[in-house]
Amino acid sequence: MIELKNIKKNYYLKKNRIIEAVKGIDLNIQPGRIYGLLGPNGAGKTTTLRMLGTILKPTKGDILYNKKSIFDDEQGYKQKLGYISANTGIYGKLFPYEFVEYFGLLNGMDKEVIKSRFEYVARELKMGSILKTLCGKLSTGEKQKVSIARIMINDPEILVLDEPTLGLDVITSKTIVEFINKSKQKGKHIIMSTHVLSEAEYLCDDAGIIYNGEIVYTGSLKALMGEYKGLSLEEIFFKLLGENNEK
Amino acid sequence: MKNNILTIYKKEILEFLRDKRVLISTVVVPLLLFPLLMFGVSYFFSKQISKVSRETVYLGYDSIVTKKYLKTIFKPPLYVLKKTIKKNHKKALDDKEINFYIEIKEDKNILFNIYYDKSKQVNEIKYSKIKSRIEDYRSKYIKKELIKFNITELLDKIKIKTKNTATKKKMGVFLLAMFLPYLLIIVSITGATYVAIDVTVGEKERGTIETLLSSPASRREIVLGKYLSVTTISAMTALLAIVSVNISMLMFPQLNGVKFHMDLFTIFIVLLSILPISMIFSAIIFLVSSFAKTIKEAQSYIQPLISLIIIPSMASLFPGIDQTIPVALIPVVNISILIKNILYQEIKPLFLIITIGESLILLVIFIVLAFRAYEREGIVFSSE
Repeated sequence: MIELKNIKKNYYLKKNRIIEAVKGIDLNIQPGRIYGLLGPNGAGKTTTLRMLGTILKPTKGDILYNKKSIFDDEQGYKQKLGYISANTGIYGKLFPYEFVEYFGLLNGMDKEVIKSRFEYVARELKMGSILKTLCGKLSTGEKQKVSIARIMINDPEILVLDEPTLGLDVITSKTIVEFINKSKQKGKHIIMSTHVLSEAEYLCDDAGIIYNGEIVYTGSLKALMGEYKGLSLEEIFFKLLGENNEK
Repeated sequence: MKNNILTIYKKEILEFLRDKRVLISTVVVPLLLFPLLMFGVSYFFSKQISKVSRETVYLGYDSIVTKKYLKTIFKPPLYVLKKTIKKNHKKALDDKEINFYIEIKEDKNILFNIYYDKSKQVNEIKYSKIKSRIEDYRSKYIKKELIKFNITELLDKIKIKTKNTATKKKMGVFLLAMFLPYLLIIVSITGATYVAIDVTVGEKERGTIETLLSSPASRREIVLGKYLSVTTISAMTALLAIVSVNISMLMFPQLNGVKFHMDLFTIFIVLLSILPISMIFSAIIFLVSSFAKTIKEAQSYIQPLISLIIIPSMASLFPGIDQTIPVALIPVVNISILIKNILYQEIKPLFLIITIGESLILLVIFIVLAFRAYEREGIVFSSE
């Protein structure tokens, strides 16, 4: 299990200005369940996911994976981590296989293992038609497939996905959603952020609604929907944000 | 750890080799620039000078006395005399009706007043032509006068003759030792610039830095892998520049009457001596770029840096800078002087040791600073 314990994140700007991006949040991400981190722009979703990706360090609090701080053995934790950022950046001058191989090698995999595993991954993600195209010439959806292939190559235990379907066409989105569901069935820890609340409703088991750096709700999505019977997740989302604003 | 550095290094090099912009700035430019600079420019320059020398020179005059002298000294068709009223001579010069306005005053002495527009380079070339004709006339005049007193031998009493004792090879070394250090320093730094920007702030702009930082490669491995790739490209650019200069000298040995090219050993030693500059400035540019949020911002930081380096890198062009301890302590200047003396085969061991030692210290400082820069959280953020 991944536990975020009283996580705070401040950004220190010039002239002693401080931005409190995350204000002491607690979350639990269970294996075999998908945790959806929902919130408007600037709420603190990406900052939280970046801390889970060890790209940023919390100002206060700790993140535990199987009861151990992820910052005690960052390299070991990263070998179990598959992180996808929101901007789908990939190396334009590499072919998809080279891109995936690069990260496979950084994960300590052998070239032969990467090669055979890539055949499976490319088949799963239906990448056949793009393998001979440089990454820079791929569409957004195709690039996202390559990014997914990158994290699939070493079959990580933890998936941190920041807006994984943002800007994608329906078919690519479906492939990504299928991948997330399959990962869940394999018992992986999955946390994702999304703007598409219908997607969260369909995919996520647990949800954390974050607003202004604070968690407004965290827990089972089913329980949340049960509490507000008859409302869609979108309506619940706005209701919770409204209540929080009144406070 | 080693494997990750090598993996990152190989990937960066592969990307550069596929990047046309890198290939142009690091391979094509150094290979073509020097033959063009060395021979193209000198060819066009001499061609232009001979063209100007063949052009008719228009000489303005006003008085009869001036006309008398000018008619004796300057003959058509190369020289054409034009009557020009004195008060209008400036306008005539501005309107290019005449190239020179000459006024000769004859009393006890003969005084040539020559008016012309010195801001025009062609006028300087034409002036040297008319000056030599006037000096010829003066010699003949003096000789004629001295004949009257039967003392012409006085004219040849004191003579100056110079003879260049340097061989063509030595002259070649002299020319090469002057400009090669400057050329190599600038080329290796510009070679490093594009790639250093690309591997640092370029990753931020493309949004790949987060992906890389979330991989099991440590930040130090990332810095070292990327830094080594920048240094490789910088050194490769310098090597190509040396090869290009050498090929140019082999192909056009008649240039300036010099005959010299570097043997493989000299090429190797020159390349070794440019390595400290390549390595230090790769680290500096790498460090500076990692603080920028956009490629444009990085370029605006690095441009002044390159301008600052131009003057010390020209040390080899200035006479009298020797291999002293203070010189060995001045970055860039020391390498410029070191390369110069390698070509002369006159290296002082103490100078070499201090130069290399100081370069190593600087290198370690800048790499440690680059490590620290990559530990910063700001390394993730572009202009988002």
